[in-house]
Amino acid sequence: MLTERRFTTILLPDGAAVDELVSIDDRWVAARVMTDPDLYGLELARIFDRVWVFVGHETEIPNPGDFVTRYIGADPVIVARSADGDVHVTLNVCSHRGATVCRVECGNAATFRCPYHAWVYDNTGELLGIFAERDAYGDGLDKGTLSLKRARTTAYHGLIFATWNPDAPSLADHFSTMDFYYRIVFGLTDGGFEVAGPPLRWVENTNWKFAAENLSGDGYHLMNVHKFLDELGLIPGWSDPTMARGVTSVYDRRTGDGLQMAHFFPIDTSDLEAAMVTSTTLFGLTETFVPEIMRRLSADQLAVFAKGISAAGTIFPTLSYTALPWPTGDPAEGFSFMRALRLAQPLGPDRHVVWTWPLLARDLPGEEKERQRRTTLRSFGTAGLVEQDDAEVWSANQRGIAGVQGRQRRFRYDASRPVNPDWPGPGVARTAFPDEDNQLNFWARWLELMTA
Amino acid sequence: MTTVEPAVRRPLAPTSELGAEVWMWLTDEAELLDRRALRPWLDRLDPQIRYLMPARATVHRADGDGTFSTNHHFDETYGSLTTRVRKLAEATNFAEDPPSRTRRFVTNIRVYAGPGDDVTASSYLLLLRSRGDAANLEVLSCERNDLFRRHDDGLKLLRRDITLDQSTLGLVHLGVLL
Repeated sequence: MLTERRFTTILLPDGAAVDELVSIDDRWVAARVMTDPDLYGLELARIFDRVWVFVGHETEIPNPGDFVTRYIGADPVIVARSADGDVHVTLNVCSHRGATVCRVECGNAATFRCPYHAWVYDNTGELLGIFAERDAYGDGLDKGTLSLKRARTTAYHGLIFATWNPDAPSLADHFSTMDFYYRIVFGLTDGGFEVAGPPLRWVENTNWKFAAENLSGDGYHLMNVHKFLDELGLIPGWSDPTMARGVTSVYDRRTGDGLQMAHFFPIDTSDLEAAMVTSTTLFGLTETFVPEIMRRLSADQLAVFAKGISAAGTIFPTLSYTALPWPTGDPAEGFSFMRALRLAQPLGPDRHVVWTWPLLARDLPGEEKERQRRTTLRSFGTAGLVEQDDAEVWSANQRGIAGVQGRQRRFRYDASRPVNPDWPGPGVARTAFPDEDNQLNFWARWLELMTA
Repeated sequence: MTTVEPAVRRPLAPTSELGAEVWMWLTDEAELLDRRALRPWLDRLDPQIRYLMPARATVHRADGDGTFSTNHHFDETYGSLTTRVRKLAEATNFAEDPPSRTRRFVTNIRVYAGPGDDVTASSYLLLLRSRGDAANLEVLSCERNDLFRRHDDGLKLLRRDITLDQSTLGLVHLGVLL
């Protein structure tokens, strides 16, 4: 259960206390958390500098030397695979004058040469050479102390996370509760998943948390914001609230992660093997995956999976995902599956950059893979029929609270359901019409990091 | 993709019959889209159309132009474009209702005869979009490489490859067609 806790008091310049911006007991959040430049600065230092942050997918850099450039908070980083196959995340900031040593977004390179004075680093961050070192520095500098700053880096079901925090728990510990679900979403096949290509990116005029908290558990908005799905016959019944009664919301108090699983097409599990064929197909895979899924999942995981699930959630702070049976958008192509990673990369208190990758099971037949890729980008990409309405509504939120009165309003999170005692998985689970407990849990974690 | 090599192929004169026809087709299209005459726009598409806008990324000169055919902002068929038009015209659409005010500037049109009986054209498109009471205009610039096929009632668009100039799109969402 969520409980009110008291933390160190941090005062904003106008005297407001950060720990009074969120009330878990009374279930509200001050609108100011979405608008305040000082809070944004605190978030960069207290959240993004301290937690595990998603920086890319292993399949973006399959070969030695491959790299992509990303951000941890506002800090540019290089995500590179070195010659030995390991993944390294380094601060893309030259130890000499701070220039970004890599100025492209992807490529293959063993070394990075700073554009300013030509200091050269390898793709693990080691400083290999200083231009005209003897002329400039006489006997030279201790290059061992001048490497690019290195982040702790761990890949998890193909997802690469990094953190600057030496005291953060290992990623395995961090996800020890939610791995039950993440194995279902990201790790249920032997061949794993791959991203379709480089991310689609666009700017949304809204605070990153509007997207992150929404995707952690706002099933409530789906029936209204995306009701075109029903109106156009793409998903008949979508806007009917009874459709949402089978949704299970799960959160992890420790990490702030939340996800929702819906049983939109409930499957009778009395015959598990038969149910597995149906649920596996429903989850965007083919019957041939059933044996490996049954081997990879525990009995409790199978109990969740076999009923036929859709899943969407947020890995705190910024990585969201969807895994949903979904219409292709082309009546002739019918139904397919939408599996996506969606990163809400902060860009100030009132803007974020969305990064979206279609995520595809590697061992799917090529034609089905293509169908899922198209399905995902048509609904969830830059021009996504679903995404565009979310973007507009969140922009309306941001506009609404731009003024003095607006930012003093409190967002309400009153919808709550009893905990489901029969749920076979870990975390705090509720099965009913979507509640706002997952989102409140997101805020509990936010508050903890901002004040502790 | 039908690649046009400007140094190799000579574009038709804009005053030639075919050059003028395509020039008119593209400027008429901009008017249809800006006026949200979307059903007439659909009628100008070949039922087999592919409509593509690949992802861009910033890469070094030696690595090409940073256009990736593995992920797309748009990867559309006639059916999926019809769904987009239906959402724009008939369904609840928070993104485009109230609609954006758009202005599509089509320039640098080059028309080529072929391949075969088809017609190829490239054009630059500058989309300016005004939304709500914001005084600023959202901007998208791109190049379009189009392939047309002759039907009884005129040229129909069979393929469009849109090359976006931004690696990160500056529009709040892409709820309109290009």
